[in-house]
Amino acid sequence: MTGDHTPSPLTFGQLSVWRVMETYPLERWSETYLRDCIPVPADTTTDQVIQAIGTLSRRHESLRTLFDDSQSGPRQHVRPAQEAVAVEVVEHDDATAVATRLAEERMVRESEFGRRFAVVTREGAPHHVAVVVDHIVSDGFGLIRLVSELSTLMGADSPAGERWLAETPPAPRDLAVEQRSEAHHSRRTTVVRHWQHLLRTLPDKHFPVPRSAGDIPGRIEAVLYSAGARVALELLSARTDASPQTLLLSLSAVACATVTGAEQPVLTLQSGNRFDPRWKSIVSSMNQYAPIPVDLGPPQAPYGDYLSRLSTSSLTAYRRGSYDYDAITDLVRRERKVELGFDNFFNFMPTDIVARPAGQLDGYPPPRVVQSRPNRQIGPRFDIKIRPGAEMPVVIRADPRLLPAPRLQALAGWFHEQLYRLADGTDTTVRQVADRCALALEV
Amino acid sequence: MTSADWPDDFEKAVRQHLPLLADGTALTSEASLLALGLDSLATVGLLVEVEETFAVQFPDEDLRAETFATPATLWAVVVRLRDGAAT
Repeated sequence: MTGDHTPSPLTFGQLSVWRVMETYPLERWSETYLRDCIPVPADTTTDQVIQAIGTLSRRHESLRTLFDDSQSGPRQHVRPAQEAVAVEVVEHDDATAVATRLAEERMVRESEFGRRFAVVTREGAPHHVAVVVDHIVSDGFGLIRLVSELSTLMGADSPAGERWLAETPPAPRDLAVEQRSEAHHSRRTTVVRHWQHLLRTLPDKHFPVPRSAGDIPGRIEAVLYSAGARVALELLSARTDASPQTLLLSLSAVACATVTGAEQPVLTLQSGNRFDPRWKSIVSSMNQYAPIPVDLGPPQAPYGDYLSRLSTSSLTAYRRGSYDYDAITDLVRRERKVELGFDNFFNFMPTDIVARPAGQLDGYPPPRVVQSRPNRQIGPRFDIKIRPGAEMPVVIRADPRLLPAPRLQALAGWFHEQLYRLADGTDTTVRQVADRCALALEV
Repeated sequence: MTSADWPDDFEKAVRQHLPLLADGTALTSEASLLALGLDSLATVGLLVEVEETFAVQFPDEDLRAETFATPATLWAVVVRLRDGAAT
């Protein structure tokens, strides 16, 4: 493990966060912070909770790292582990409200570690720890590790926390060195070739996706909840030999083409880049945006052909999803004279949805579509996320200028209807699916 | 092709990405990896592990669903890449 305290380069994941957030106004950064509230086991004292937070901070470099910019690019400075960690103690019934307040002010990376903790008490007794982290400190998976370890350190029963506490955590500085090493030269070259191929084969108007201008008037959101759609997806996966992720990506790409008018849209996957066992559980930001060109193919062609192409594109995008953001930015500037940009996001999060040939399509509660205004009012103009759960929430977030609320709601409902129509064999071609999506959006 | 044709390292790498394959159940050469729980992200995890274990690098042309259809199709690509790298 890295032992000195001289500045180090950023990992590819950290650099991606740095560069992407540079495109956001400073006053909007806090919208992107991750937050969580961790229950404190009964009979645990405030001092014990603070000690647990201190232990967590000593274990993970990310929690005691400062970042600054320099002539050679952004750098990270890992600070020595302190015995005591400053933690706010707040008397409040609602830990979520405390977390929201903790996230209000921007964290200044040059002078403040990118995390804030508060012990939330009721009548002096701690009941939750509110935690907020800058995305450069951790992605969602890293936060799961932090929460699990902290729970265990406070005395809760968490098998994952116990397992992780028994390990020496991987250090982002070591990863940064490895990613930039001679041993990884071949991988970096392969990734650059992949981007060169994208730039050579995709039209200017579709790639890179132009950056959003101004992010006004914000974002709206609609969520489809449907247990039946989940079963239809599992059944369809068994019938087509396509993964549930590929199937929902295929519908999202059709939706994107319909909403944006692009015949061959370019979507963005988020590659978790936690495929190497040595770095699988690191507390850092590993996610990077991975563009995936979508070839819808001839309209009358079987939907299965489209799925097959999409599966290949998806695998390639994920595999080439770890890259030096600055090197790729330079390449894009040279080739296209524009800035690197991403939009049309797709993220499939469930791990418990699998091919099941014996699913029944009837007998479920009717689907629900719930509209809301997301906390995060910045970012992609079109963003589809599939969350885990019995009702498989399909979360669609959009810029209302691109997709006004009534059409957004209709699109969410279309996912339910379309999964059924593919699963029961009513629709079998790309044309049928695209036509039905267009029809649904005529509201 | 049978499981006897591939080394233990390969079998171990594949098995640990198949959540629906019970311990003690044989991994047959023609088993559907998708049906055994190999989802999209697990496919990339398996790919990385196989690349590390056998010191090969899959070119984009081999990053296809067909490559990861069964243990036999995957092992065939590994052998081709490994033998190609050795020449």
